[in-house]
Amino acid sequence: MGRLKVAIIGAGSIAEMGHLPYYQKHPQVELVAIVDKNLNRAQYLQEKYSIPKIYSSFEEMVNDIKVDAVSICTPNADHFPIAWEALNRGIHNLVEKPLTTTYKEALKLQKIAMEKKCVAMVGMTHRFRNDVKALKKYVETGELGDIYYAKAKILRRRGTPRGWFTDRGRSGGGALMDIGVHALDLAWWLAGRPLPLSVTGHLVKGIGPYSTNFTHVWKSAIDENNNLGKFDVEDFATAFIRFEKGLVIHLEVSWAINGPQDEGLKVELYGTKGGVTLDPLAFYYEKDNIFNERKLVVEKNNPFEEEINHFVDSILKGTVPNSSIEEGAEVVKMFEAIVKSSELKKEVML
Amino acid sequence: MKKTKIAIIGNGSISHVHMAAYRKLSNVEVVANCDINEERAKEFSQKYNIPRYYTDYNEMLEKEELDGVSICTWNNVHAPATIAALNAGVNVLCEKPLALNAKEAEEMVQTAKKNDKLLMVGFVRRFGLNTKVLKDRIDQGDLGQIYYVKTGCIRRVGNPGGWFSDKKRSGGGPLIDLGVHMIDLARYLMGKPKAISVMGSTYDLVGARSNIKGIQIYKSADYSDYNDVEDFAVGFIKFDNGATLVVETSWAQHIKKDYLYLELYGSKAGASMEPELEIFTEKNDYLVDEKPIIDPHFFDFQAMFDREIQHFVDCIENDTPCISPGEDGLELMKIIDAIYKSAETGQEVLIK
Repeated sequence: MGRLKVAIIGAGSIAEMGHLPYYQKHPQVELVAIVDKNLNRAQYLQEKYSIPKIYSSFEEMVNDIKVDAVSICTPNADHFPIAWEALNRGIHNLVEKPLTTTYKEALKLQKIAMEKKCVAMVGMTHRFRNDVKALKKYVETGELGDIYYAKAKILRRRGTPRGWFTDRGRSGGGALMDIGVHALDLAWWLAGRPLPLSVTGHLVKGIGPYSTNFTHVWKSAIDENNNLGKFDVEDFATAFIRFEKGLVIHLEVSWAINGPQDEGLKVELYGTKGGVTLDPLAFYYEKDNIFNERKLVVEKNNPFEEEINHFVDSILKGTVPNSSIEEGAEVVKMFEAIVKSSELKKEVML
Repeated sequence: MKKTKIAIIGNGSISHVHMAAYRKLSNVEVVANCDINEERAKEFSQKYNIPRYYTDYNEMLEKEELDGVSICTWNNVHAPATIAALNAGVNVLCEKPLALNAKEAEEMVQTAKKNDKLLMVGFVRRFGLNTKVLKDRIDQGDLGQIYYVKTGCIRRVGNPGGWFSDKKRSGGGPLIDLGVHMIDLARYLMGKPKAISVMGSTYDLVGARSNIKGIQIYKSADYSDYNDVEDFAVGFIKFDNGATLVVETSWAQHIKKDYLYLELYGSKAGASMEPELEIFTEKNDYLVDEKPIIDPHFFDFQAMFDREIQHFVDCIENDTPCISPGEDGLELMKIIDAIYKSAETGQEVLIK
């Protein structure tokens, strides 16, 4: 079998940071095209990564060349239409997070992926971290016992990304959609993907656009809207989600807040027999009447590279990927409920 | 109810720690104390409301009806006082080192056997909480086979002076004072293997450093700067279980900062005891550093002695098997003798 023909849809920052270099490295992948509405941007990446063809639309590409798989790295609102077109043509999909901006769309993708027997994966990169994998072992071996509480937190204090992110029409939501998805998915996946039952949510545009000096900021590669343009989304979100078997996950995320900064995702799981924390990386338990703190010694790996390799591997072996489309849809379902609960100011049943 | 009658021979610094421990036991009465310095003996008895004080332990042993004694004298008095007490039918808790050398220690052990009385040696570190936690894990096989132990207690300026640095009273310097604790702890944790071969070196090139100003130094109760002991000792000991122990200890050395360490390496895990107990191993194919949590409140120096004294009394009252018997003190003296001998001759010393 020849090499897998892969194309990148959306020639933005995440395509360059988390997808292109690793496809390029993979011996069984042939990068065949870049698609972007902005051909200048596509051209820039074409030259940098020596990719044969560029197109300004997905349609244009599939009418011209054969493609086996795509990475969808566009703004959130464009994930669904492109993913659907690709899956409909039997093209395997790695979709950046969040899978879609509505649950209805997520279910449609799930259905078509199943019909066409495609590998459909959501880019939940944190699942591929070495330290996260080390923690997952403790849940799998039952050493946590019954997990009754988990926290997922990342509070950036002046980290609102510039560009389409703050325009609801293109992003589908703010901090919750952007980084909340990482935090919630990680805690949920580590806890064993339990069934959600009800949700209470609280979304706030607390700080809004700011011109604070001396802070680093993520800018969209799309130049327009990179100044303080449309800002009609939340920059803070918190949710209290009840799951089956008595688990509650508490989520807190912010792009901006008047407080201290979390340098990375913080996830904690507490069970009847043991507990784990991601930062510091540790397992807590009691044995022979002594309480113990066990620090895990794990070096940082490149989770993007592992994620891409895993996607390619799943296609080559025909296996269901880690972070499948079903799981992505379940997370979108929880998000919709969080948003609804925040609007209604009431708990929402799932 | 009949109380256990105790006397304390030697009323210097460490005797106060023993006394504090005995006072906590309601079934114990400290009936007498003894020190060659009459003023000191009198002060001690007044401070703790002890009925009678003496300056001659033989007189005390003759006049008092005792169940046990704590021997807290200079090292050179450990043997004669212990032997006298055992022959008087009294159980003995003798501070470390058991004696000045193995010959004296052997005589003490034999005397205990002859009189069918308890001889316990004051290896108080065996009663530390982190020692207990680590020993439990070692006994459960967590460390696997322990093959290498390194331990050290190095002081930049720490010669206590007084009897400590007077060889005829102390028997030696930091090796017999500090090294004895460390070597015993390593041995005890390993399951008390027998030492079979020893290489050692000692040096006295730095001196007592009593001239150093501007820092706090622990000084012996009767301080004098007379110093004829080693300031640094290092030993390489091989045991009958195949393990190797490297020990270094110093009262005066040109180092940056004092340090204390005890590290054990086994086939399945390693452990470090200072500054806190940490165990290094692997679980689920990942490297882990595990820390048993013991609230610092429990790491009291006095609390260790409390447990040691409590155990001594328990052994007297209930015939409980002794955690720190005199035989272990003798074994240590053999090792100390061997290190000093090897330092002298420059040759390996084999221990029978």
